[in-house]
Amino acid sequence: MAVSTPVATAVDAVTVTDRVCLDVGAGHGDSTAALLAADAANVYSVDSDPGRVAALADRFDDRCTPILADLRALPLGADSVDVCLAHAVCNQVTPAGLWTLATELARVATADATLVVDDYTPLPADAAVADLFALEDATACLATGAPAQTFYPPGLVAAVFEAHGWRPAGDRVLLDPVPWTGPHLDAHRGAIREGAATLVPTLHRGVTAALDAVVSTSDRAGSMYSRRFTRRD
Amino acid sequence: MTFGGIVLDHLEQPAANQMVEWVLDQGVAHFDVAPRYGDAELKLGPKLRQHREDIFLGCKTQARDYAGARDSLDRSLTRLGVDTIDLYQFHGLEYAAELEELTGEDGALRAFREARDAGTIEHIGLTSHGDPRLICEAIDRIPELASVMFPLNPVVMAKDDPEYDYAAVLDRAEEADIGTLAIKAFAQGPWPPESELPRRDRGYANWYEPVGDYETIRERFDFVAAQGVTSVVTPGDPKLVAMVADAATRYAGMDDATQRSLIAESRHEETPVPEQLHH
Repeated sequence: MAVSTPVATAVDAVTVTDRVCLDVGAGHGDSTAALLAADAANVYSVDSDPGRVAALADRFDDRCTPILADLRALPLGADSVDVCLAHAVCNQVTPAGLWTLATELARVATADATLVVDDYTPLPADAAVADLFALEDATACLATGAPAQTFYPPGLVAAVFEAHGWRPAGDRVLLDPVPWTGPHLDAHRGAIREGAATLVPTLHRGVTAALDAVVSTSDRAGSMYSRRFTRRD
Repeated sequence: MTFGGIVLDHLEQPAANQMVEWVLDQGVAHFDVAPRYGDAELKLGPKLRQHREDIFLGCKTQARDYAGARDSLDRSLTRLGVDTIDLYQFHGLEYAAELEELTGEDGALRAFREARDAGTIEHIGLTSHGDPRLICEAIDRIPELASVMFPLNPVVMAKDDPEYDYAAVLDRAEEADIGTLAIKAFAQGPWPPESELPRRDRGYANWYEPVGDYETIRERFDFVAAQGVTSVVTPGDPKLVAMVADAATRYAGMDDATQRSLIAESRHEETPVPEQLHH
Protein backbone atom coordinates (compact mmCIF):
# COMPACT_ATOMS: atom_id res chain seq x y z
CA MET A 1 0.00 0.00 0.00
CA ALA A 2 1.39 3.38 -1.00
CA VAL A 3 2.04 5.89 1.78
CA SER A 4 -0.07 9.01 1.16
CA THR A 5 1.35 12.51 1.03
CA PRO A 6 0.54 14.73 4.03
CA VAL A 7 -2.13 16.70 2.18
CA ALA A 8 -3.70 13.56 0.67
CA THR A 9 -3.82 12.12 4.18
CA ALA A 10 -5.67 15.21 5.40
CA VAL A 11 -8.09 15.18 2.44
CA ASP A 12 -8.72 11.46 2.87
CA ALA A 13 -10.42 12.16 6.20
CA VAL A 14 -13.22 14.24 4.70
CA THR A 15 -15.94 13.74 2.09
CA VAL A 16 -14.85 15.60 -1.02
CA THR A 17 -16.65 13.74 -3.82
CA ASP A 18 -18.88 16.08 -5.86
CA ARG A 19 -18.42 18.91 -3.36
CA VAL A 20 -17.31 22.46 -4.07
CA CYS A 21 -13.89 23.03 -2.52
CA LEU A 22 -11.73 25.98 -1.63
CA ASP A 23 -7.95 25.68 -1.55
CA VAL A 24 -6.83 28.56 0.66
CA GLY A 25 -3.33 29.67 -0.31
CA ALA A 26 -3.06 27.23 -3.21
CA GLY A 27 0.64 27.82 -3.91
CA HIS A 28 1.85 25.45 -6.62
CA GLY A 29 -1.35 23.42 -6.41
CA ASP A 30 -0.49 20.25 -4.52
CA SER A 31 -3.54 20.69 -2.26
CA THR A 32 -5.76 21.39 -5.25
CA ALA A 33 -4.38 18.23 -6.88
CA ALA A 34 -5.30 16.21 -3.79
CA LEU A 35 -8.85 17.64 -3.79
CA LEU A 36 -9.30 16.91 -7.49
CA ALA A 37 -7.91 13.40 -7.04
CA ALA A 38 -10.59 12.92 -4.37
CA ASP A 39 -13.23 13.80 -7.01
CA ALA A 40 -14.10 17.33 -5.93
CA ALA A 41 -16.81 18.87 -8.13
CA ASN A 42 -14.57 21.89 -8.54
CA VAL A 43 -11.89 23.72 -6.60
CA TYR A 44 -11.48 27.46 -6.10
CA SER A 45 -7.70 27.75 -5.79
CA VAL A 46 -6.94 31.09 -4.18
CA ASP A 47 -3.47 32.58 -3.97
CA SER A 48 -2.11 36.08 -3.67
CA ASP A 49 0.77 35.61 -6.12
CA PRO A 50 -0.05 36.32 -9.80
CA GLY A 51 2.65 34.00 -11.13
CA ARG A 52 1.45 31.07 -9.06
CA VAL A 53 -2.17 31.67 -10.02
CA ALA A 54 -1.22 31.71 -13.72
CA ALA A 55 0.68 28.43 -13.24
CA LEU A 56 -2.38 26.83 -11.59
CA ALA A 57 -4.39 27.54 -14.74
CA ASP A 58 -1.77 25.66 -16.76
CA ARG A 59 -1.56 22.75 -14.34
CA PHE A 60 -5.25 21.90 -14.00
CA ASP A 61 -8.32 21.48 -16.18
CA ASP A 62 -11.48 23.55 -15.75
CA ARG A 63 -12.49 21.77 -12.55
CA CYS A 64 -9.98 24.15 -10.95
CA THR A 65 -10.76 27.88 -10.86
CA PRO A 66 -7.57 29.79 -10.02
CA ILE A 67 -8.32 33.05 -8.21
CA LEU A 68 -5.89 35.87 -7.54
CA ALA A 69 -6.96 37.37 -4.22
CA ASP A 70 -6.02 38.30 -0.69
CA LEU A 71 -7.03 35.34 1.50
CA ARG A 72 -8.60 37.76 3.96
CA ALA A 73 -10.97 39.15 1.31
CA LEU A 74 -12.20 36.23 -0.78
CA PRO A 75 -14.09 37.17 -3.97
CA LEU A 76 -16.63 34.40 -3.32
CA GLY A 77 -20.27 34.65 -2.32
CA ALA A 78 -21.70 33.59 1.02
CA ASP A 79 -22.64 29.89 1.37
CA SER A 80 -20.66 28.92 -1.72
CA VAL A 81 -18.08 26.37 -0.52
CA ASP A 82 -18.60 22.86 0.93
CA VAL A 83 -14.97 22.05 1.83
CA CYS A 84 -12.32 24.58 2.86
CA LEU A 85 -8.72 23.36 2.94
CA ALA A 86 -6.04 25.53 4.56
CA HIS A 87 -2.90 23.43 4.18
CA ALA A 88 0.26 24.99 5.67
CA VAL A 89 -1.14 28.47 5.24
CA CYS A 90 -2.14 29.74 8.71
CA ASN A 91 1.56 30.00 9.58
CA GLN A 92 1.81 32.65 6.85
CA VAL A 93 -0.69 35.04 8.45
CA THR A 94 -0.45 37.31 11.48
CA PRO A 95 -2.77 36.81 14.48
CA ALA A 96 -5.01 39.62 13.19
CA GLY A 97 -4.95 38.06 9.73
CA LEU A 98 -5.85 34.67 11.18
CA TRP A 99 -8.96 36.15 12.78
CA THR A 100 -10.00 37.78 9.50
CA LEU A 101 -9.33 34.56 7.60
CA ALA A 102 -11.56 32.64 10.00
CA THR A 103 -14.30 35.24 9.48
CA GLU A 104 -14.00 34.94 5.69
CA LEU A 105 -14.07 31.14 5.70
CA ALA A 106 -17.17 31.19 7.90
CA ARG A 107 -18.81 33.59 5.47
CA VAL A 108 -18.17 31.58 2.28
CA ALA A 109 -18.91 28.17 3.86
CA THR A 110 -22.23 26.40 3.41
CA ALA A 111 -24.27 25.32 6.43
CA ASP A 112 -22.84 21.78 6.43
CA ALA A 113 -19.32 22.70 5.29
CA THR A 114 -16.13 21.03 6.41
CA LEU A 115 -12.91 22.90 7.18
CA VAL A 116 -9.48 21.27 7.23
CA VAL A 117 -6.60 23.20 8.79
CA ASP A 118 -3.13 21.66 8.47
CA ASP A 119 -0.04 23.30 9.88
CA TYR A 120 3.19 22.98 11.78
CA THR A 121 3.31 22.80 15.56
CA PRO A 122 5.61 25.32 17.27
CA LEU A 123 9.22 24.15 16.98
CA PRO A 124 10.97 22.94 20.12
CA ALA A 125 13.24 25.74 21.34
CA ASP A 126 16.30 23.50 21.10
CA ALA A 127 15.73 22.53 17.47
CA ALA A 128 18.62 23.64 15.27
CA VAL A 129 16.18 24.87 12.66
CA ALA A 130 14.40 27.08 15.22
CA ASP A 131 17.33 29.52 15.11
CA LEU A 132 17.03 29.80 11.34
CA PHE A 133 13.30 30.59 11.57
CA ALA A 134 13.93 33.05 14.41
CA LEU A 135 16.46 34.87 12.26
CA GLU A 136 14.05 34.89 9.33
CA ASP A 137 11.29 36.30 11.53
CA ALA A 138 13.58 38.94 13.02
CA THR A 139 14.70 39.98 9.54
CA ALA A 140 11.12 40.08 8.26
CA CYS A 141 10.00 42.11 11.28
CA LEU A 142 12.79 44.62 10.65
CA ALA A 143 12.03 44.73 6.93
CA THR A 144 8.22 44.66 6.89
CA GLY A 145 6.98 44.87 10.47
CA ALA A 146 5.61 41.32 10.53
CA PRO A 147 7.24 37.91 11.08
CA ALA A 148 7.82 35.64 8.08
CA GLN A 149 5.78 32.82 9.58
CA THR A 150 4.28 31.84 12.91
CA PHE A 151 3.81 28.24 13.93
CA TYR A 152 0.74 28.68 16.14
CA PRO A 153 -0.14 26.05 18.73
CA PRO A 154 -2.92 23.92 17.18
CA GLY A 155 -5.21 24.69 20.13
CA LEU A 156 -4.92 28.41 19.45
CA VAL A 157 -5.78 27.99 15.76
CA ALA A 158 -8.72 25.78 16.76
CA ALA A 159 -9.94 28.41 19.23
CA VAL A 160 -9.92 31.09 16.53
CA PHE A 161 -12.01 28.95 14.16
CA GLU A 162 -14.32 27.76 16.94
CA ALA A 163 -15.00 31.42 17.75
CA HIS A 164 -16.39 31.67 14.20
CA GLY A 165 -18.86 28.83 14.49
CA TRP A 166 -16.67 25.89 13.45
CA ARG A 167 -16.96 22.79 15.65
CA PRO A 168 -14.04 20.33 16.05
CA ALA A 169 -14.61 17.13 14.03
CA GLY A 170 -11.36 15.21 14.36
CA ASP A 171 -7.62 15.42 13.91
CA ARG A 172 -4.64 13.58 12.45
CA VAL A 173 -0.88 13.80 12.67
CA LEU A 174 0.41 14.34 9.15
CA LEU A 175 4.17 14.39 9.80
CA ASP A 176 6.17 13.50 12.86
CA PRO A 177 8.88 14.66 12.77
CA VAL A 178 8.84 17.31 10.07
CA PRO A 179 11.82 16.84 7.74
CA TRP A 180 13.40 20.26 7.13
CA THR A 181 15.61 19.28 4.21
CA GLY A 182 18.45 21.13 2.49
CA PRO A 183 16.20 22.71 -0.16
CA HIS A 184 13.78 23.96 2.53
CA LEU A 185 16.58 25.52 4.51
CA ASP A 186 18.14 27.03 1.37
CA ALA A 187 14.81 28.69 0.53
CA HIS A 188 14.56 30.19 4.02
CA ARG A 189 18.20 31.32 3.88
CA GLY A 190 17.40 32.96 0.55
CA ALA A 191 14.45 34.78 2.11
CA ILE A 192 16.67 35.99 4.94
CA ARG A 193 19.26 37.32 2.48
CA GLU A 194 16.56 39.08 0.46
CA GLY A 195 15.06 40.66 3.56
CA ALA A 196 18.47 41.65 4.89
CA ALA A 197 19.31 43.41 1.62
CA THR A 198 16.49 45.89 2.27
CA LEU A 199 17.83 46.86 5.71
CA VAL A 200 20.24 49.63 6.66
CA PRO A 201 23.90 48.55 6.24
CA THR A 202 24.61 47.80 9.92
CA LEU A 203 21.53 45.58 10.24
CA HIS A 204 22.25 43.97 6.86
CA ARG A 205 25.75 43.06 8.05
CA GLY A 206 24.43 41.80 11.39
CA VAL A 207 21.82 39.53 9.80
CA THR A 208 24.32 38.20 7.25
CA ALA A 209 26.82 37.42 10.01
CA ALA A 210 24.12 35.69 12.05
CA LEU A 211 23.12 33.64 9.00
CA ASP A 212 26.58 32.06 8.96
CA ALA A 213 26.03 30.85 12.52
CA VAL A 214 22.68 29.07 12.06
CA VAL A 215 21.98 25.60 10.73
CA SER A 216 22.59 25.02 7.07
CA THR A 217 22.09 21.28 6.83
CA SER A 218 18.89 19.35 7.26
CA ASP A 219 16.99 18.91 10.53
CA ARG A 220 14.00 17.00 11.83
CA ALA A 221 11.84 18.90 14.27
CA GLY A 222 8.25 19.50 15.29
CA SER A 223 5.23 17.90 13.71
CA MET A 224 2.49 18.76 11.24
CA TYR A 225 -1.12 18.38 12.33
CA SER A 226 -4.45 18.28 10.55
CA ARG A 227 -7.61 19.46 12.31
CA ARG A 228 -11.10 19.08 10.90
CA PHE A 229 -14.08 21.30 11.71
CA THR A 230 -17.75 21.31 10.73
CA ARG A 231 -20.48 23.95 10.64
CA ARG A 232 -23.14 21.34 11.34
CA ASP A 233 -24.84 21.22 14.73
CA MET B 1 14.09 -11.05 8.29
CA THR B 2 15.75 -12.96 5.47
CA PHE B 3 19.48 -13.60 5.46
CA GLY B 4 20.93 -12.38 2.16
CA GLY B 5 23.56 -15.05 1.48
CA ILE B 6 25.63 -12.79 -0.76
CA VAL B 7 27.57 -11.66 2.33
CA LEU B 8 29.13 -15.11 2.57
CA ASP B 9 31.05 -14.43 -0.63
CA HIS B 10 32.96 -11.72 1.25
CA LEU B 11 33.99 -14.04 4.10
CA GLU B 12 36.52 -16.86 4.39
CA GLN B 13 34.98 -20.25 5.19
CA PRO B 14 35.43 -20.14 9.01
CA ALA B 15 33.88 -16.67 9.19
CA ALA B 16 31.09 -17.76 6.83
CA ASN B 17 30.35 -20.70 9.15
CA GLN B 18 30.24 -18.37 12.15
CA MET B 19 27.95 -15.98 10.31
CA VAL B 20 25.47 -18.76 9.52
CA GLU B 21 25.56 -20.02 13.13
CA TRP B 22 25.06 -16.49 14.43
CA VAL B 23 22.18 -15.76 12.06
CA LEU B 24 20.47 -19.02 13.05
CA ASP B 25 20.94 -18.07 16.72
CA GLN B 26 19.03 -14.85 16.00
CA GLY B 27 16.06 -16.99 15.00
CA VAL B 28 16.37 -16.36 11.28
CA ALA B 29 15.10 -19.27 9.19
CA HIS B 30 14.95 -17.88 5.65
CA PHE B 31 18.26 -17.88 3.76
CA ASP B 32 18.55 -16.54 0.23
CA VAL B 33 21.44 -17.26 -2.12
CA ALA B 34 22.19 -17.35 -5.84
CA PRO B 35 24.81 -18.73 -8.22
CA ARG B 36 25.64 -15.14 -9.18
CA TYR B 37 26.95 -14.40 -5.68
CA GLY B 38 30.51 -15.59 -6.23
CA ASP B 39 31.26 -18.48 -3.88
CA ALA B 40 28.28 -17.86 -1.59
CA GLU B 41 26.59 -21.17 -2.45
CA LEU B 42 29.78 -23.11 -1.71
CA LYS B 43 30.41 -21.24 1.54
CA LEU B 44 26.83 -21.70 2.73
CA GLY B 45 27.07 -25.43 1.97
CA PRO B 46 28.69 -26.88 5.12
CA LYS B 47 26.45 -25.17 7.66
CA LEU B 48 23.40 -25.53 5.41
CA ARG B 49 23.89 -29.29 5.37
CA GLN B 50 24.43 -29.35 9.13
CA HIS B 51 21.24 -27.35 9.81
CA ARG B 52 19.18 -28.27 6.76
CA GLU B 53 15.98 -28.79 8.75
CA ASP B 54 16.20 -25.33 10.34
CA ILE B 55 16.71 -23.42 7.13
CA PHE B 56 14.13 -22.39 4.55
CA LEU B 57 16.43 -22.19 1.53
CA GLY B 58 15.88 -19.77 -1.32
CA CYS B 59 18.01 -19.90 -4.46
CA LYS B 60 17.72 -18.43 -7.95
CA THR B 61 18.62 -18.68 -11.59
CA GLN B 62 19.15 -16.10 -14.28
CA ALA B 63 18.47 -18.71 -16.97
CA ARG B 64 15.26 -18.01 -18.87
CA ASP B 65 15.24 -21.11 -21.08
CA TYR B 66 14.34 -24.67 -20.15
CA ALA B 67 17.76 -26.31 -20.50
CA GLY B 68 19.58 -23.40 -18.90
CA ALA B 69 17.28 -23.38 -15.86
CA ARG B 70 17.52 -27.18 -15.48
CA ASP B 71 21.33 -27.04 -15.62
CA SER B 72 21.50 -24.05 -13.30
CA LEU B 73 19.34 -25.83 -10.72
CA ASP B 74 21.53 -28.94 -10.89
CA ARG B 75 24.64 -26.85 -10.45
CA SER B 76 23.22 -25.00 -7.44
CA LEU B 77 22.12 -28.25 -5.78
CA THR B 78 25.64 -29.62 -6.30
CA ARG B 79 27.37 -26.51 -5.02
CA LEU B 80 25.06 -26.24 -2.01
CA GLY B 81 25.34 -30.00 -1.44
CA VAL B 82 21.61 -30.51 -0.80
CA ASP B 83 18.80 -32.42 -2.50
CA THR B 84 16.10 -29.78 -2.35
CA ILE B 85 15.58 -26.04 -2.53
CA ASP B 86 12.55 -24.65 -0.74
CA LEU B 87 12.07 -21.56 -2.90
CA TYR B 88 13.56 -21.41 -6.39
CA GLN B 89 13.31 -18.03 -8.06
CA PHE B 90 13.64 -16.40 -11.44
CA HIS B 91 16.52 -14.03 -10.65
CA GLY B 92 16.46 -10.38 -11.68
CA LEU B 93 13.60 -10.19 -14.17
CA GLU B 94 14.12 -7.01 -16.12
CA TYR B 95 12.59 -7.15 -19.60
CA ALA B 96 9.20 -8.15 -20.98
CA ALA B 97 11.00 -10.41 -23.48
CA GLU B 98 12.45 -12.40 -20.57
CA LEU B 99 8.98 -12.99 -19.17
CA GLU B 100 7.87 -14.14 -22.62
CA GLU B 101 10.80 -16.52 -22.85
CA LEU B 102 10.58 -18.02 -19.39
CA THR B 103 6.83 -18.63 -19.67
CA GLY B 104 7.15 -19.97 -23.25
CA GLU B 105 7.12 -23.59 -24.34
CA ASP B 106 10.88 -23.92 -24.06
CA GLY B 107 11.08 -21.64 -21.05
CA ALA B 108 12.53 -21.88 -17.56
CA LEU B 109 9.08 -22.16 -16.00
CA ARG B 110 8.68 -25.64 -17.51
CA ALA B 111 11.97 -26.69 -15.87
CA PHE B 112 10.77 -25.20 -12.57
CA ARG B 113 7.48 -27.10 -12.81
CA GLU B 114 9.23 -30.37 -13.56
CA ALA B 115 11.60 -29.85 -10.64
CA ARG B 116 8.66 -29.09 -8.38
CA ASP B 117 6.84 -32.24 -9.54
CA ALA B 118 10.04 -34.22 -8.94
CA GLY B 119 10.33 -32.74 -5.45
CA THR B 120 13.63 -30.97 -6.07
CA ILE B 121 12.11 -27.58 -5.41
CA GLU B 122 9.08 -26.80 -3.32
CA HIS B 123 7.99 -23.27 -4.23
CA ILE B 124 8.51 -20.97 -7.21
CA GLY B 125 9.38 -17.29 -6.81
CA LEU B 126 10.54 -14.24 -8.70
CA THR B 127 13.06 -11.50 -7.96
CA SER B 128 13.37 -8.18 -9.76
CA HIS B 129 14.48 -4.63 -9.33
CA GLY B 130 12.95 -3.81 -12.68
CA ASP B 131 9.70 -2.17 -13.69
CA PRO B 132 6.95 -2.81 -11.10
CA ARG B 133 4.41 -3.18 -13.90
CA LEU B 134 6.42 -6.11 -15.28
CA ILE B 135 6.48 -7.75 -11.84
CA CYS B 136 2.71 -7.38 -11.58
CA GLU B 137 2.35 -8.89 -15.05
CA ALA B 138 4.52 -11.83 -13.97
CA ILE B 139 2.23 -12.37 -10.96
CA ASP B 140 -0.69 -12.53 -13.38
CA ARG B 141 1.03 -14.87 -15.81
CA ILE B 142 2.72 -17.33 -13.42
CA PRO B 143 -0.12 -18.67 -11.28
CA GLU B 144 2.12 -20.76 -9.04
CA LEU B 145 4.34 -17.86 -7.89
CA ALA B 146 4.71 -18.14 -4.11
CA SER B 147 6.73 -14.96 -3.60
CA VAL B 148 8.15 -11.87 -5.24
CA MET B 149 11.35 -10.10 -4.15
CA PHE B 150 11.67 -6.41 -5.08
CA PRO B 151 13.13 -3.10 -3.81
CA LEU B 152 11.33 -1.13 -1.14
CA ASN B 153 12.55 1.90 0.79
CA PRO B 154 11.42 5.51 1.40
CA VAL B 155 13.44 6.81 -1.55
CA VAL B 156 11.72 4.65 -4.18
CA MET B 157 8.36 5.18 -2.48
CA ALA B 158 8.84 8.96 -2.69
CA LYS B 159 9.14 8.79 -6.48
CA ASP B 160 5.82 9.68 -8.04
CA ASP B 161 6.47 7.54 -11.10
CA PRO B 162 4.97 4.20 -12.22
CA GLU B 163 8.54 3.05 -12.93
CA TYR B 164 9.14 3.00 -9.18
CA ASP B 165 5.66 2.13 -7.97
CA TYR B 166 6.64 -0.95 -5.98
CA ALA B 167 3.72 -0.21 -3.66
CA ALA B 168 1.57 -1.45 -6.55
CA VAL B 169 3.49 -4.75 -6.45
CA LEU B 170 2.82 -4.97 -2.73
CA ASP B 171 -0.92 -4.49 -3.36
CA ARG B 172 -0.96 -6.97 -6.25
CA ALA B 173 0.96 -9.59 -4.23
CA GLU B 174 -1.42 -9.16 -1.32
CA GLU B 175 -4.36 -9.65 -3.66
CA ALA B 176 -2.74 -12.80 -5.06
CA ASP B 177 -1.91 -13.91 -1.51
CA ILE B 178 1.79 -14.42 -2.19
CA GLY B 179 4.87 -13.55 -0.15
CA THR B 180 6.77 -10.26 -0.47
CA LEU B 181 10.50 -10.05 0.17
CA ALA B 182 11.96 -6.53 0.35
CA ILE B 183 15.46 -5.84 -0.98
CA LYS B 184 17.38 -2.53 -1.06
CA ALA B 185 15.71 -1.51 2.20
CA PHE B 186 19.07 -0.14 3.32
CA ALA B 187 20.19 1.49 0.07
CA GLN B 188 21.17 5.13 0.34
CA GLY B 189 22.01 5.68 -3.32
CA PRO B 190 24.45 4.84 -6.06
CA TRP B 191 28.16 5.02 -5.29
CA PRO B 192 29.90 8.19 -6.49
CA PRO B 193 31.52 7.73 -9.92
CA GLU B 194 34.81 5.79 -9.93
CA SER B 195 36.64 9.00 -10.82
CA GLU B 196 35.61 10.43 -7.43
CA LEU B 197 35.70 7.26 -5.38
CA PRO B 198 37.59 4.27 -6.83
CA ARG B 199 35.95 0.93 -6.17
CA ARG B 200 38.86 -0.14 -3.94
CA ASP B 201 38.19 2.82 -1.61
CA ARG B 202 34.53 2.01 -0.99
CA GLY B 203 33.67 1.30 2.63
CA TYR B 204 31.07 -1.38 1.92
CA ALA B 205 30.83 -4.48 -0.24
CA ASN B 206 27.38 -3.51 -1.58
CA TRP B 207 27.04 -2.49 -5.21
CA TYR B 208 25.11 0.57 -4.01
CA GLU B 209 26.00 2.79 -1.07
CA PRO B 210 24.10 1.57 1.99
CA VAL B 211 23.01 3.51 5.05
CA GLY B 212 25.58 2.64 7.69
CA ASP B 213 24.62 4.01 11.10
CA TYR B 214 22.45 2.03 13.46
CA GLU B 215 19.71 4.65 13.90
CA THR B 216 19.14 4.93 10.17
CA ILE B 217 19.28 1.17 9.69
CA ARG B 218 16.62 0.77 12.34
CA GLU B 219 14.50 3.49 10.79
CA ARG B 220 14.78 1.85 7.36
CA PHE B 221 13.94 -1.59 8.75
CA ASP B 222 10.93 -0.24 10.62
CA PHE B 223 9.72 1.67 7.57
CA VAL B 224 9.98 -1.27 5.17
CA ALA B 225 8.58 -3.81 7.62
CA ALA B 226 5.68 -1.42 8.31
CA GLN B 227 4.68 -1.60 4.63
CA GLY B 228 3.46 -5.10 5.38
CA VAL B 229 6.11 -7.16 3.59
CA THR B 230 6.57 -10.80 4.52
CA SER B 231 10.29 -10.30 5.17
CA VAL B 232 13.13 -7.79 4.83
CA VAL B 233 16.33 -9.11 3.23
CA THR B 234 19.65 -8.18 4.86
CA PRO B 235 22.07 -6.11 2.77
CA GLY B 236 25.20 -7.52 1.11
CA ASP B 237 27.88 -6.27 3.49
CA PRO B 238 28.76 -8.46 6.50
CA LYS B 239 29.20 -5.39 8.75
CA LEU B 240 25.52 -4.52 8.46
CA VAL B 241 23.97 -7.91 9.20
CA ALA B 242 24.15 -7.67 13.00
CA MET B 243 22.64 -4.18 13.02
CA VAL B 244 19.78 -5.27 10.78
CA ALA B 245 19.16 -8.36 12.92
CA ASP B 246 19.04 -6.15 16.00
CA ALA B 247 16.59 -3.79 14.31
CA ALA B 248 14.44 -6.78 13.36
CA THR B 249 14.44 -8.01 16.97
CA ARG B 250 13.32 -4.62 18.24
CA TYR B 251 10.75 -4.00 15.51
CA ALA B 252 7.52 -2.63 16.94
CA GLY B 253 5.92 -1.03 13.89
CA MET B 254 6.14 2.55 12.64
CA ASP B 255 3.27 5.00 12.82
CA ASP B 256 1.87 6.54 9.64
CA ALA B 257 3.04 10.11 10.42
CA THR B 258 6.65 8.91 10.70
CA GLN B 259 6.35 6.94 7.45
CA ARG B 260 5.07 10.07 5.69
CA SER B 261 7.90 12.06 7.24
CA LEU B 262 10.56 9.72 5.83
CA ILE B 263 8.98 9.83 2.40
CA ALA B 264 8.67 13.62 2.49
CA GLU B 265 12.33 13.84 3.47
CA SER B 266 13.40 11.63 0.56
CA ARG B 267 11.16 13.44 -1.89
CA HIS B 268 12.63 16.81 -1.10
CA GLU B 269 16.18 15.59 -0.99
CA GLU B 270 15.99 14.34 -4.52
CA THR B 271 15.14 17.61 -6.20
CA PRO B 272 17.61 20.46 -5.70
CA VAL B 273 14.85 23.05 -6.08
CA PRO B 274 11.51 21.59 -5.05
CA GLU B 275 8.50 23.28 -6.49
CA GLN B 276 6.61 23.40 -3.25
CA LEU B 277 8.52 24.24 -0.15
CA HIS B 278 6.03 23.28 2.43
CA HIS B 279 5.20 19.64 3.01
